[in-house]
Amino acid sequence: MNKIPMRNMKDINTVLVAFSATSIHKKLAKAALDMAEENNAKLIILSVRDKNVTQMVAKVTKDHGFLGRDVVEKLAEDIKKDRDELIEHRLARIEEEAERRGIEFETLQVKGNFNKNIIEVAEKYAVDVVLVDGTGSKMEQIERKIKVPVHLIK
Amino acid sequence: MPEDKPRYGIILLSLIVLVAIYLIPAPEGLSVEGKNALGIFIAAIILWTTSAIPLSVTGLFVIALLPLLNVMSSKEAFYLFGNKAVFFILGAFILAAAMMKTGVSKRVALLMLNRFDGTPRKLLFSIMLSSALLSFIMPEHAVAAMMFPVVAAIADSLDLEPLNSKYGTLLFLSMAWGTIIGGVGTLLGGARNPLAIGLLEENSGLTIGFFEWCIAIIPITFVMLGVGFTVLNVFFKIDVDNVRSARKVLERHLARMGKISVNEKKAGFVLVSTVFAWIFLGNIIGLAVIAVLSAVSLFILNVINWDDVESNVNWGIILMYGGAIAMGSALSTTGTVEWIAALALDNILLSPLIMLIIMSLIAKFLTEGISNSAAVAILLPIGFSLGDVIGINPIAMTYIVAVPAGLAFILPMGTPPNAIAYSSGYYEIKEILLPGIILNLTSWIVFILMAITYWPLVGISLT
Repeated sequence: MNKIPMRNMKDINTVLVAFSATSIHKKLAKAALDMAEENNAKLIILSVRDKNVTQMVAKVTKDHGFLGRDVVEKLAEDIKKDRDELIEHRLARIEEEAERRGIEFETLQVKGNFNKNIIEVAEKYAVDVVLVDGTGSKMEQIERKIKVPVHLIK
Repeated sequence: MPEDKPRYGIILLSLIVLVAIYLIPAPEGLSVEGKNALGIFIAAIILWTTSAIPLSVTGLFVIALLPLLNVMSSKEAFYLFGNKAVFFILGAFILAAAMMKTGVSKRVALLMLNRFDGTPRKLLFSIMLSSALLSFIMPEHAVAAMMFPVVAAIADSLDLEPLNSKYGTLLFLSMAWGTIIGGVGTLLGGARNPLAIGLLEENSGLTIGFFEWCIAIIPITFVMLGVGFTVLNVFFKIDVDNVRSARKVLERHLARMGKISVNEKKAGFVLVSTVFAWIFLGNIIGLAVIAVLSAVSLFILNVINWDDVESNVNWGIILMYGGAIAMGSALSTTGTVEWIAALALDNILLSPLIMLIIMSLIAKFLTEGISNSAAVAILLPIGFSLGDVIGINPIAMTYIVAVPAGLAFILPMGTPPNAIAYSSGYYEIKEILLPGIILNLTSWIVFILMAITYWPLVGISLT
C-alpha cells in the first residue's frame, strides 16, 4: 500500500484526487482509494482536461503535412472519440473499485486549468486532503492557495 | 478548429533582420544581390523554424521578396515557383487523395496486417512493416492517420490499460516509427524528398530518378526497421499473453469495407501503372509529367472529383515548396552559399566523411523541432555549397540531408505520425525520450555506415 504521512492531518472526511488529461495513473488512484477507505471518507474524483491533445495533433498534422481539412477533421474526431473513451474507461475503473470497497464517491469532469480547477473544487467541497501526481512545484502552487495538505503521488 | 494567430514579435524580428541586412553594405566577397538573398534566407529561417506564420505563407513571402530586393527578376522568381518538383508533389498528392478516398490504401493495410500469425511480437512487427511499406507508396502522414483507428481498435480489443500497458505503447510506436522510417524510402513517402531533388536540380542541374532513390534508400530503411524494432522491444517489455482478439478486429474492419469496389480497382491500377512509369520511363519523359498524367487519369476514370481533392489535400503547403526552391536557386545563383561555405570552412579542414557525419546529424536533430521540409529547405542549399568546397557529390549531399531530415522519432511536434501516436494516451513524452534518442542515434549510425559501405556498391560516390 502507498503509505501517506499523516502528520498535521486532521480528521479526513473528504478526499480529493485529481487527474490531468494525460495522466490517470493507477498508483494515484489506489492511494486515493486506500485513504478514503481507511478514513471512511468521501472520495471526490476530479478529471481535468487541461490539454487539448486532439487540437495539438490537428495543428501538427495541418501545419506539417499535405493532409486536407476533411482528413484532419476526421482524424481529430477519431482521436477525440478514442480519448473520450479512454478517460471514461479509466474513471469507470476507479468508480468500480470505490463501489466494491463501499466508498462514497462523486466524479467530476471539467475542462481548463489543472490547478485552478483543483482549488475551486477543494473549496466547494471543503475537502480535507488533495492527492495529485506530477511535479513538486504543482503541489506547492496548490498548497499556497488552499489550507489543506496536498500529497504528491509518484 | 481554431486558427493560430500570427506571432507578431517573431514576425517583427524577421523583418528587422531583413531590413538591417538590406541596409548594411555588402561584405567582401559577396555581391549586393547575394547579401540581400542572405537577408531573405535568414528571415525565412526565423519564420520556418518558429512557424510564426504558416510555412506556406513564408514561401509566398520569399517569392515576393526576391524581386523586391533585386535578388532576381520577378519573371525568374515566379518561374521557379512552377518548378518540376512542385508539380511532381502536386500529382503525388492527388494520387494519395484518390487512394484515401476510395479506401484502397486502407484495404491494403488491413490485408497486410491480417497476415500476421498470432503472437504479440509478430503483430507489432506486422504493424511496423505494414506502416513502412505503405509509406513507400503514399505520404507517411496519410498512413499514420489511416492506421490510427485500426491500431486503436486493436488496443481496445486487448483491454490494455493506458499508461500502464507497455504493449499499448508498443502498438502505437510501431505504427509511428514504421511510417517515419518507410517515409524516407521513396519519393512518395514525404514531399521533402522531391523538394530535395528540386533543390538539387536548381543547384547543379543533376537529378535523381525514382528508381535510383529507391535503390539508394530502401535497403537502408529495412536495416533501420530492424534497429527500430529492437529498440522498441528493449525498452518496452511485452506485457500481454495473446492477441487473438486483434485478428477479429481486423476481420471486422475488412468485413465492414465489403468487396473491393470498381473505384478501388481503378485507383490501384493507376497507382501501380504510375510507379512502373516512374521506374521505367521517368528518365525519358520526366517524373513530374508522369505524376500529372496520373492525376489527370484519375479524373478521366471518374475515381475522384475536384471536391475530393480539395477536401483531402492541404494545397497551401505546395506554396512552401515553391518558395523553398526559389530561395535555394537565389542563394546559388548569387553566390551566397559559396560565400557562407568559404566563411564556415575558413581555416577548417573537413574530410567528406566528417562532413557527412556533421550534416546528417544537424538534419536529424533540426527536424525534431521543425517541419521536415523546412529542415531540407534550410540545410540543403548550405550543404551543396559546403559540399562543393570539400568535394562531396551533390547527389550524395541530397541524400545526406533529406533522409535524416525525415527521421524524427521523439517529439510529437516534430512530425504528424509522432503526434498521432502520442494522442493515443498510452504513454507520456518522458517515457519515450530515451528510446527516441537511442533510435535517433542508432538510425543515424546505420545511415552513415550504409552510406560508406552500401552506396559505393550501387554506384553512389560520396565524392
